[in-house]
Amino acid sequence: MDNKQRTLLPTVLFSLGAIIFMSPILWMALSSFKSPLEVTAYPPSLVFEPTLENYEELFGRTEFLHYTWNSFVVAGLSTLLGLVLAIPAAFAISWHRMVWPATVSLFARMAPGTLFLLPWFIMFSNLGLSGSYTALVLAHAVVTMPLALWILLPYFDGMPREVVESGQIDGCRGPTILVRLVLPMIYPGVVVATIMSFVFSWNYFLFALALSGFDTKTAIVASFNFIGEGTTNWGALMAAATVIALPPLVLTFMVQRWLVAGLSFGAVKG
Amino acid sequence: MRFFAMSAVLALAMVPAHAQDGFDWRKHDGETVNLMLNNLAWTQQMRDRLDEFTTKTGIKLRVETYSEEQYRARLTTLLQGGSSDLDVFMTLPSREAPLFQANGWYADLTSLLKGDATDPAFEYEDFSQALRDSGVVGETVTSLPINVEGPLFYWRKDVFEKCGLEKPANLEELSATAAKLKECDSAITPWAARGLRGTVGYPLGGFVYNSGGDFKDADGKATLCLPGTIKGIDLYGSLLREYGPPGATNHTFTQVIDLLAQGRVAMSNESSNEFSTLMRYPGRSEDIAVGVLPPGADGTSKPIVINWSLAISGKSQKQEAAWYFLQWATGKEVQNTLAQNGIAPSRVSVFNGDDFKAWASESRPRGEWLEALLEISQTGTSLYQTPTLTRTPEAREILSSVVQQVILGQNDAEAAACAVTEQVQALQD
Amino acid sequence: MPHQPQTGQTAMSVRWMMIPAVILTLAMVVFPLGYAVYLGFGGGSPATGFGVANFQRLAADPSFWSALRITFGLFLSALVLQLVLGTALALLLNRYDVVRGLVRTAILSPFMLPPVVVGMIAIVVLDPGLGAANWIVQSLGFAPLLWLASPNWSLLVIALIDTWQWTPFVALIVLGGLQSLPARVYEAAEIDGAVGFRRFWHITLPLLGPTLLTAAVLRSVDLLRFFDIIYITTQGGPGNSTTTLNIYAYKLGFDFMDVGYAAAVMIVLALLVLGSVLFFAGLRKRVSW
Repeated sequence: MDNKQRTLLPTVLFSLGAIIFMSPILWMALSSFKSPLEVTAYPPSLVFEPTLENYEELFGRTEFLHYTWNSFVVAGLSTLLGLVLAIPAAFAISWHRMVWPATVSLFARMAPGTLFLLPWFIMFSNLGLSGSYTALVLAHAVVTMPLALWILLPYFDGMPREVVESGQIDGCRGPTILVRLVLPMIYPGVVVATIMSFVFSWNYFLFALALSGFDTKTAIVASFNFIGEGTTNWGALMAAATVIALPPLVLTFMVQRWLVAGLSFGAVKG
Repeated sequence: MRFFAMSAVLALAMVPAHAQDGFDWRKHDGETVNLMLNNLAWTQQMRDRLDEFTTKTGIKLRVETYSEEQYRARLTTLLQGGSSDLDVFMTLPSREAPLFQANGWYADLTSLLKGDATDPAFEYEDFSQALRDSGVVGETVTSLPINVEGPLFYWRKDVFEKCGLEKPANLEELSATAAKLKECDSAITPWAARGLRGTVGYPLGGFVYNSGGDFKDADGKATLCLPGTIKGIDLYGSLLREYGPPGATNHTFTQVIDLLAQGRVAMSNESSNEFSTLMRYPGRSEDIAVGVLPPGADGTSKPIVINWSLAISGKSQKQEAAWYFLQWATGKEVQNTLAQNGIAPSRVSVFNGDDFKAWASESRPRGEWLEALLEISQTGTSLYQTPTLTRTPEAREILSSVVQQVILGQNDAEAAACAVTEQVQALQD
Repeated sequence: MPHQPQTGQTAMSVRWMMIPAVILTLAMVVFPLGYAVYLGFGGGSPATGFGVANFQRLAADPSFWSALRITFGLFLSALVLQLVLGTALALLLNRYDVVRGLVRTAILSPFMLPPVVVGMIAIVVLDPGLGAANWIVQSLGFAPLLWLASPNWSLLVIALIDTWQWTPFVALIVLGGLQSLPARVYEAAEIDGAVGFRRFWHITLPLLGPTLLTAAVLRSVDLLRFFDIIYITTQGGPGNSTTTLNIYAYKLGFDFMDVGYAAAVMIVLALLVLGSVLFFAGLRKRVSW
């Protein structure tokens, strides 16, 4: 293989891959700038006069900005809660070489989400929390906590025990050792866990459908409002989808290098 | 059923010249009422007018809207969970009234109607009889109708003219018309209609009744295995199979209307609610014609006509304030305004009123649309699946699966319809 | 944790630091599961009474068995596709470390997208008469396809959509595994003259076993419960062709309001997921290197 071939083949392959993975997303973004009548035109219009009317509809006539903010609050707080719970738990599990807790926490992800809706609704109603951020954040923490735990475990496992032991010798207690000595060493893992938790919470749809209230509705639940008898608006729907997809895409771009290194889920350890 | 059979004169006679000013609309000033609405054209129109209610009564409104699938999931969760956060919700009586009433999910409107919480000018009797009845379970009034709607026959006048065709005189001519359309203009799909699971019954019902079919036999036992029913299912399924767009089994109103609006389909049987949407697309107000679904070969015409309604939650803590909202939202004034934005009113006085007539006379399609609605409201029925008290959604699912088999050519109509006899009978209470 | 069992001092106990996470799991997961079991065994339904009536009904319900078959069909087809394609993509990414920035983002993006958005794109793009997919197919000179509207192919199309979304995720996990493979193994193989596909088949793949199983566990948990995209696109149709257990349970609970029976179906589904996790976990112990 000469040098030219060496760069040509991967370039072609990866461009092809990028096209396959990216074109549906680009199509969505493109459609959001078409007039509502044009989105489902056939043959599809590739050249069209871009319009902002879908975004005007989205942010002007509905409270989508408010819903987007709700999504940020719920995803942000449930990520925080998930990490605050998962970091010490992962530290303990790793230090004591326990196997079962990781499997048990995975069980939280095993049950179908539909199973949780009614019990949670009844539970939060009785606690006077239905429709509150608290209910949504707790529900989403069931998604974020096990995810963060699974991402963090290999980082904790990969850290030399001597680090902790040296802390012990200095007379530090568990939490101090975790914060002062361990976390600085595994912060790439924390970053990856944070990003993934945020994105998965942001993307979660079903819990918010049942548990959100008037003021806490999330963007992803509100996005369906553009479908209805006599009211369907594909353009606004594509605009809503684009707005919802944007934060995950931006985050992916920002942390892609770390993602590549950080998503082994303990697979490389025996 | 006769929805608007009462003459305008009679209806007018019931309306006092001026509503008594004695009624205190501001009794619940400062309270807040929570609404949960399904995303319909009615809802979109109302959203812009809710401030008027707050100005009039001082009652604040908090509204959430969802598209139908999400609406049902959330409503079911809230009702099953006994939520007191929900005051007013939208309901489809033909689908769920007996079940919701049996579960105690509706507040009793009967006493509210009789009590002094009702504006003397409200006039419950002004709602057409059949629409009123849709919300009555036993002796109890459970909901108030907000509109009247049904599937209508839409067709492309210009394409028909070009091909030398008339609106089919009966259902059995539909296939022949479709065949001629296909031959005459290969660029246009002759026919489109719903095929998605759970959504088929509504546009199918007229095909079944007009063909002499029913959803129960002479003894009142549920069945689809009747000659007329099989014929109706066969007509509906074959049309979609032979002349429909590809992928019809995943189509509901969104796709059907898209195709029609973009001028790619020549005929359809789709909801009257979609009329205003269609008219917004360039060219359609000139070339679309609308009317009642053609009758059966023997002239039988028994179309489907239904209504959406507003109900108050049985668990609501603010039933009287919520009742104020219902009175306002279904009152004459609001209905009259909405009627001029293409929402067919449930009140006789509004439907037959001058304003609605004047609006309808402004264009040919509007006039046709009004005529068609008037006719279906006089001759139509709201039952379009196996009669059950509480298991209607399942009945619709079974019916859909039968029709899908015909659309897909997996089974002929008779075999498919007769195979589910036990299943549908098990749904009857 | 280091592999070698360490007998030295582990005087410090930090087990208590798990407690908050355990409390959340107990409060949020155990209660709903208990409630579902209660409903599934007829609790709260005076009609059936407490007992196994719902499970007997399940055994005799052809829709349940059909949903079970479809759940497995989707699970197996999507899992195989994703593992094969994900491994291939990982090998490429591992070999050519030149992929940077936007291209890498493009390749990684799909699994970060909300499934709801993916479903919405699918509705618009894959409609046989309105979507861009058939336009491309026809421009290339092929006959238009029915995509999700074909009862024979809809499940495979769903599997392909999920594969589009999750192959990059599998690739990332496999890439992590590849990069941690001991270099000396390769050097030894190089001396033996194993190259290309042979080296992959006889050396790399066996070493990747545990990694692939981890990916399989994570994907099977999601695939068995697959919901969002079907719910948005086909709602289980055409016919029953995409009615998985989760979709069936949803319909029973939220459309038919048959809460007890829906709970019974969901319990079976949860057990199924648990079974698959234990199966893969057991398998992984055996192939561990």
